[in-house]
Amino acid sequence: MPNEPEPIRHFRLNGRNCAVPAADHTLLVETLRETLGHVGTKQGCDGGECGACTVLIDGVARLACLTRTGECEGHEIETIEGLAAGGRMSRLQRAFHERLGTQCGYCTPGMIMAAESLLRRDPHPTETAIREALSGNLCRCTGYVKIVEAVLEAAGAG
Amino acid sequence: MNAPFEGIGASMKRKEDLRFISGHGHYVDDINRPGQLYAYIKRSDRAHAELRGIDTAAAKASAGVVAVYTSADLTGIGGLPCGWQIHNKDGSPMAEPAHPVLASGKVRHVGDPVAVVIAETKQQAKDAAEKLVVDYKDLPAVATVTDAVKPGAAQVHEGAAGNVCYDWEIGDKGAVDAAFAKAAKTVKLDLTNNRLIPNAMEPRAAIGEYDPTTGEHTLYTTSQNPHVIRLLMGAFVLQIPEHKLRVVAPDVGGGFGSKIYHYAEEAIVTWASGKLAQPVKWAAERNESFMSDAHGRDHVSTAELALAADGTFLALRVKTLCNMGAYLSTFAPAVPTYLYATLLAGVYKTPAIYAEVKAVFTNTVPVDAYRGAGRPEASFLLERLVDVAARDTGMDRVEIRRKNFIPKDAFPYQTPVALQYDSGDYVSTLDAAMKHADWAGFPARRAAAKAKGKLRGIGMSTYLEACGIAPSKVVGSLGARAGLYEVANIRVHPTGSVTVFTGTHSHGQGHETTMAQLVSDQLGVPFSQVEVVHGDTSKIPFGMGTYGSRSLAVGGSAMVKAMDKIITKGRKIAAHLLEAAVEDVEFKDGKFTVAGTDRSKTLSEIALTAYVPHNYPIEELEPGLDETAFYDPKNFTYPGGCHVCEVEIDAETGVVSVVNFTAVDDVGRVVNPMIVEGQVQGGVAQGIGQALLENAVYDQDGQLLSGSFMDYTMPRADNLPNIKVGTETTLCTHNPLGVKGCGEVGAIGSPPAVINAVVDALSDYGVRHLDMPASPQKIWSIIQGAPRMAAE
Amino acid sequence: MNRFAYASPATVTEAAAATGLVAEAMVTFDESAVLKAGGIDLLDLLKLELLTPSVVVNLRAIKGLDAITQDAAGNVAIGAMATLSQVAEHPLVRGSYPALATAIAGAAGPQLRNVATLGGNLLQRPHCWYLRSPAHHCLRKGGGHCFAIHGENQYHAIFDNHACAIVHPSTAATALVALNAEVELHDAEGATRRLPLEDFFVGPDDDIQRENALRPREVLTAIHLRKPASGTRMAHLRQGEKAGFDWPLADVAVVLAIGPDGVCREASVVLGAAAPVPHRARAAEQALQGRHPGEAAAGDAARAALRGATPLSLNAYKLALFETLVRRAILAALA
Repeated sequence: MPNEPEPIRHFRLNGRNCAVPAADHTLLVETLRETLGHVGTKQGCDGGECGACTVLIDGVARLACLTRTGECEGHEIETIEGLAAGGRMSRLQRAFHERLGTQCGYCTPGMIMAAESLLRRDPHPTETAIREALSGNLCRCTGYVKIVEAVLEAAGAG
Repeated sequence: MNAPFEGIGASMKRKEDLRFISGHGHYVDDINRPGQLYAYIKRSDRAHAELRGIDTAAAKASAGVVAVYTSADLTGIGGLPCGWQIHNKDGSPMAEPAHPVLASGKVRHVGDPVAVVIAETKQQAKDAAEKLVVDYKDLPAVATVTDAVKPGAAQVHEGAAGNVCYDWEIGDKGAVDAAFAKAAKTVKLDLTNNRLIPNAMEPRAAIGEYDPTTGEHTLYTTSQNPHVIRLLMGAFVLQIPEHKLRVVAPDVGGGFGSKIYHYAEEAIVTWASGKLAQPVKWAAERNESFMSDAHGRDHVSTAELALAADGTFLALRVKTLCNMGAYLSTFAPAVPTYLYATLLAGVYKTPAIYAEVKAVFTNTVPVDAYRGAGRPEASFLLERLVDVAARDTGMDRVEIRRKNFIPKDAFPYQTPVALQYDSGDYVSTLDAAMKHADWAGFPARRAAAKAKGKLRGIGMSTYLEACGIAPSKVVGSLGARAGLYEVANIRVHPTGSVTVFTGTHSHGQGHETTMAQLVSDQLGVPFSQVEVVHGDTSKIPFGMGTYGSRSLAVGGSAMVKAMDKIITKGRKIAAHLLEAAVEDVEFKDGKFTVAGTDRSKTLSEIALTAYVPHNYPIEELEPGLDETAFYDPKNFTYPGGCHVCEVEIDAETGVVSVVNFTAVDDVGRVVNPMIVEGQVQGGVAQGIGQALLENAVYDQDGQLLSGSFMDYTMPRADNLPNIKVGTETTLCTHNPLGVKGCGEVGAIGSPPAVINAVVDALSDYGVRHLDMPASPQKIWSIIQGAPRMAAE
Repeated sequence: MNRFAYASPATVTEAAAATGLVAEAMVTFDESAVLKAGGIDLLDLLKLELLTPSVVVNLRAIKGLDAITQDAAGNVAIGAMATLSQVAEHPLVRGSYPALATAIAGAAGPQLRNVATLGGNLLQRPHCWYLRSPAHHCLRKGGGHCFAIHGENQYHAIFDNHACAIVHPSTAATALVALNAEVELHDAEGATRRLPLEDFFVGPDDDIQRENALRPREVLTAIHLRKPASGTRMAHLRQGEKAGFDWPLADVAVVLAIGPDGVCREASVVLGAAAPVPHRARAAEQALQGRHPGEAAAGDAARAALRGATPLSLNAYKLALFETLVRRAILAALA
């Protein structure tokens, strides 16, 4: 196993075709950060507990620390780097800026991607729905108050 | 057209946000250096054991391994230094055992580093570390302060008899004893301040790099104070002179105190990268954070209050046992002494106070400052004690506070425990908080809750803290081995834009915005034309970093001082250009004007002249417009306020919900209200976490059981209320901005407010006190009168 | 985490054949191969090296394993690879088995529910902090004793806890046992067998090394639910330390078949996080059967549910918690 070349995985990353070597046990968060240099996706725990590595796979929020790169074959992956279309920040990103939805910034990419997934599924969520959708993402700085306000604002209710 | 208001008092949106919301934040683990190797730290899985040997052969032969080091390899390397020395009651210095970079002879806590493996990939390093064979001989371990001081307890260090690090006192014991002897009433309370794990969302990381052609070392590290790390590591551990050591702390993903300290991994990667002449990176896994980042709190106290018949406080007596963990972390000894016991006057004019603090070693992770640091322990003790005093004496909780407040005309106020408060108005924050929280309407809400079978309670804390740390002369006399001034360098560029270099460090606080507002306001330069640089010892002259809510009070004041120098020089240049006397030149709104005329020069014109000095008083003035100032504060600052918490308890399940939380704080002048609000909300969230959820659990053998986010419960989005924040302002009298600091107030004021509310909700059950966290099982046990409550 | 090879068979039979001992997180600690469903608990166990397989067999590529279907008789089959989100949001589940939908919607966080599968959820290993601590060589890991029985046992079992005090971690299992669900198991020869979920879970008295009855070379492929009789009422309630994402301190599922006369014909009362396997409270069920259920019957059943409990030093609070949850779940089912 050690000397075998790693198989090439093909998927779409932020709208572009991507072909990248990854071993069977390689996790998507490792491929994004270490192989592709997409370091916007963060890792804050040892798997599944903090949400910092949330990305969208086929539009659904998933944790890159629990997803093997091999499973992404043929799928559409979106990360924080892909959210600003043509350099223009998305409404959610703008709302995080307007409402101070970020402090140290470390949980922010995962938080925004989790909120993005919610807004695609439910464009006008209640505060309760927002809090539930973000319950997989830990933030230690904000007490979540301004994050929730930002998502409400992005949904047009803020 | 009026320019938009962007100076002091404007809720400017943050400059740093743009990179954070787009995924372009630049954190240590995002950095990769060419040819980089990876370090993995092998940590002790024993709480206490003799380290009889480490067989490294198999690890060294493992694929990709470049080096394996144990303590035997670290010749000529010093131990991790402690930056604060406390003296015992008898004047002798505290016990200060060695804190080796890699454990030597013994391991003393789970997580103690025993060896480092360096390999070409992270996985190879980790795989090889599995092949290290460590020969331990287990020793009995001790995990809690109460066990540590028992006769016959396992000894953590040979040089600390009875596990005592120091036995310290403050205040007038005689006066306190006398007051108790004649008091009409006395109240006594035993309480525990639960042990917490800071858990900034970014795990610690460090990269060492060495340039053999210049002999220069660079350390990228997750630090709140890169210059302090350079000083401590360079001078005490690795003997690298300052000019050959650069420390960079780029974007740092939260700190809350845990990233102040100099950690072993920083020294390991710096030393190893020099030895191997290749960059070496280490990044903590979360489980390592749990067992190697300094923990917080962990006090066991007895508090006694003596009162006159009318409820006037006469004296306070406190005895505290506090946990230092297995080694002394950088500032650990100062936390339960000068950041705790000196705060025991709180907002009250108690005339006599005496406190004894015994710090003890245990086989646990070192304990040091965590958001609030000492002050949350003091506010919890005092604000619980005041509520219990009200209950025991039949007084109203609010009235007993009002009666004993230091009145607003009593400042400066000298407390019996060393501090001198400069300003405050505790009635105004109390009144505002009660109004915003609708304290008066509570009985109706309680009745409504009762109708649906819920127990509703309301509680408050009227707290005070000391921050803006701190006057160097004072802290020096108290045992600090450093000065605590701050440094600013203000560079006005030839075209008038400004770069500010600050020795403080932002890891979420928004300094790039607040400090730019401050400079924009004072120099009259547009906000967009001011850039704040922090976190790199090669760019910034010096600095003591960010902790103790000091950045604006101390760092901002240094900026004011540097700007004063800029303006003084600018006036001279303007006087020359405008052919006026220097005394006649005024500076306002970015313009130098000859008084009483319309003749003026803008700051940009002055800057251009300073850098292109063709028409310039070159005989008496140097070219350039670039000034540095060191500011040493004259006193601490004293934010305070009132937090009101309202809870509902499901009596059948014991589950507590915080239904309302209102914080009204006096943080001095507010530069950016939105940022202050965010800081307070975040601090309150951590305080609610401490009060209801968080607890570091060790078993009796010193194994950390709460070692992941599933076992150590932090607040999530779906279990916190909206936190209402207000401010009432009195200005700090001794710094030029009148600012006090807002980073810690939330975590200091909130825990007692929450517990006071919980106890209030349980008033029908005869509950006098419960310790944090107020978990469902604890509440249930109280409601049931089960024996469990005594045990906790 | 050790290095492992990865196999993605196209059929269940191949998957079963590829594995020595099986499951997402199963049984002993020296499997040569393990099956992966959602992979959440599995990854945890691999990282903790509670599992060190040489092959991880992925079930994702097998077509149809995530289907949720209804037969002509109205019975529902849920493929073991259906994600928790799929199950919780599926109209058949929400319509006929709302207690299951509730139990699942409260499990883990949203991102995890998008990946975690129902099969994997049922087969996850307990979250006892001693079991998951590398420093504690506990009975279940082949060691000498259970650390929880005399240790920090506030989250542990109050029934069947004299040998090993783990609790079953799955709230879905609580609901499914109350619904008398059956599991379908498929072996390497292509044979299938079905057994009640209740009998599928194995307690420490039967075998300390196992938590379920999966045999070597066997794969859990589906969960079968009978069409509820008309008049069936159900509810699931959970209580964590806080509202959201953590392990429950207690959870309760109640399924009642109420006749046209208002009399309770059949009752299922199951407690989760109470015992090493989902715990059926037979005395509570008997207290409901043949009665017009209401406040009084609910109270009787709730008290009966806790009869015979053997709480440990720090978890007696669970008795009252369960009593409340049982009573409330019965009333919620009737509401």
